[in-house]
Amino acid sequence: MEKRPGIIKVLHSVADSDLTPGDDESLFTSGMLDSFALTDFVVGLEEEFSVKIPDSDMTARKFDTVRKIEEYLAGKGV
Amino acid sequence: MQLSTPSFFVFFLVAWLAYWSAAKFRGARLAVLLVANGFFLAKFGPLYLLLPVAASIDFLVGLGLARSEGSARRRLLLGVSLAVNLALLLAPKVMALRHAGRTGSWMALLTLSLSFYCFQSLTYTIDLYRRDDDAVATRNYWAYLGAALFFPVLVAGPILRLHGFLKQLLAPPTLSESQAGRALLLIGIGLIKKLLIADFLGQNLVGRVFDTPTLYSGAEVLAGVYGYALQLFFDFSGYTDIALGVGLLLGLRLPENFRQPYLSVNVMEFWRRWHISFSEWLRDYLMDSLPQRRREFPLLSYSYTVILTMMLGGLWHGLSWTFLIWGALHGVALAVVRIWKQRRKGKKPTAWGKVAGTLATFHFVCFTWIFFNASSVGNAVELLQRIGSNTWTVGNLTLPVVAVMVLGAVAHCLPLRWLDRSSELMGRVPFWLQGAALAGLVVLIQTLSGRGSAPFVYGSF
Repeated sequence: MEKRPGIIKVLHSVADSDLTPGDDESLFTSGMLDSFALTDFVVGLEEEFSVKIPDSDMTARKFDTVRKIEEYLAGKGV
Repeated sequence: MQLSTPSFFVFFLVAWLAYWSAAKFRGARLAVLLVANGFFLAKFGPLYLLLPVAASIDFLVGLGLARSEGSARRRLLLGVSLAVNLALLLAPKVMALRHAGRTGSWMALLTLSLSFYCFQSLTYTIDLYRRDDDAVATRNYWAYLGAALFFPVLVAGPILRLHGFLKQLLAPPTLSESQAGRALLLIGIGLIKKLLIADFLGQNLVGRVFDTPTLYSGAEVLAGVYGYALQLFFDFSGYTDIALGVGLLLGLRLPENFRQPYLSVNVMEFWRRWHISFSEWLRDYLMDSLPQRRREFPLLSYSYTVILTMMLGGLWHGLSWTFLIWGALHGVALAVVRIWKQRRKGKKPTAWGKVAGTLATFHFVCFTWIFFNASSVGNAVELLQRIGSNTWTVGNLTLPVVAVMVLGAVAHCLPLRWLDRSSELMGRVPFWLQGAALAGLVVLIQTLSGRGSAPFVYGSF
């Protein structure tokens, strides 16, 4: 399943920026996400991909780049 | 041993030649690195040769975590690592507090802060405890020691994530001409930043103003605070540039630590551009570890974790009220900016809004630097009173001081891509000529700076 468009859609809905990041570009370093916006982002991903993400996974390390998010979602069976 | 002194470069030249002579053989390469790490540590005092003992404990904890499934045992192992590293981190600070003002105490033996060592050692064990995807316990003891005690970053970072760095260390190193050009350029820029800007401002303006603010007008004290903002940036980023350059010459990429922080539009952006490896460490290993209910109370959770994290981050610099106030001010500012952004959801700042935001952020950061550098809260209040005294004489600001401040401000604003372009040009110069140019630069800067290099500010934290 192609996950990138859904991830970008959720990202644009919560981020200040409407730029489209590269696969390995840090969403946090670039300022698209911060620790606070991460919560909205994770909730958006849960709705977009019908998946449950535990609070313990809600860290910048796991959702730092589009590639990491794709891998994380793949690990959840998406 | 300071990274800005000629003796360091002589040491590094010998280490570099031995490292590349042994580059094809991983064991030999690591052995050279271990000897270099040991020599570097020993220059700070024989006490530091015990540091490999602490590193060995973390190495064993890593192996234990890789083999343990039970949560109680894993917690115990992590507890051991936390206890060792927090003891190394806190003991010198507690002793400094207890021995403040006493001369001739054995505090003189503690010439190197171990903070940066502790931070990066904790990335290793905490990542393993959390079972992060990238975290793999290494079985190579020598590689672990080589990474954990990597000499260019021991004094003042940047803080390495050891799992990623170990992968680099175990892979065959490469050094292209453009990499070498960039490395030598970084070292040259770092030396200029440290010796010609930071040390000059420290000796000729900042130290005097902060020591005796009552002798200066409000305008001069304000200039002293601006000067400190520049001194701290050029001192710390100068160190980082040298460390990055030294790492690159060994075929190792270290994380960047600064990206024009004083051009930040708000304080959140400032912390994405200032001491990046530390703010990311705080976020990943402290803020994320605090208990919180993000889904139910997002704003409250963010505000309390960020304020507490920044206060603890402040206390890391030293156990004093001034650092606590500095951390609290930044924590509250981060929470306020977050609320502000939340209310303005979707609205982008105008060009003038960005200019106003940049000026306001810079002045807020300068205001907090007063507490950061003041010897006491009373000293900080004194400085603030002088700034508000409505006195405008500037007779104590010499032309060279003003010129270096202007030069520093302009240098801070230069486009980052200029470094890439300069690196490319430097890469086209034959390597021997690059080395000769750097050696010449070292001698020239040492001559110009006269009094030698002052210790790096962050080396004492």
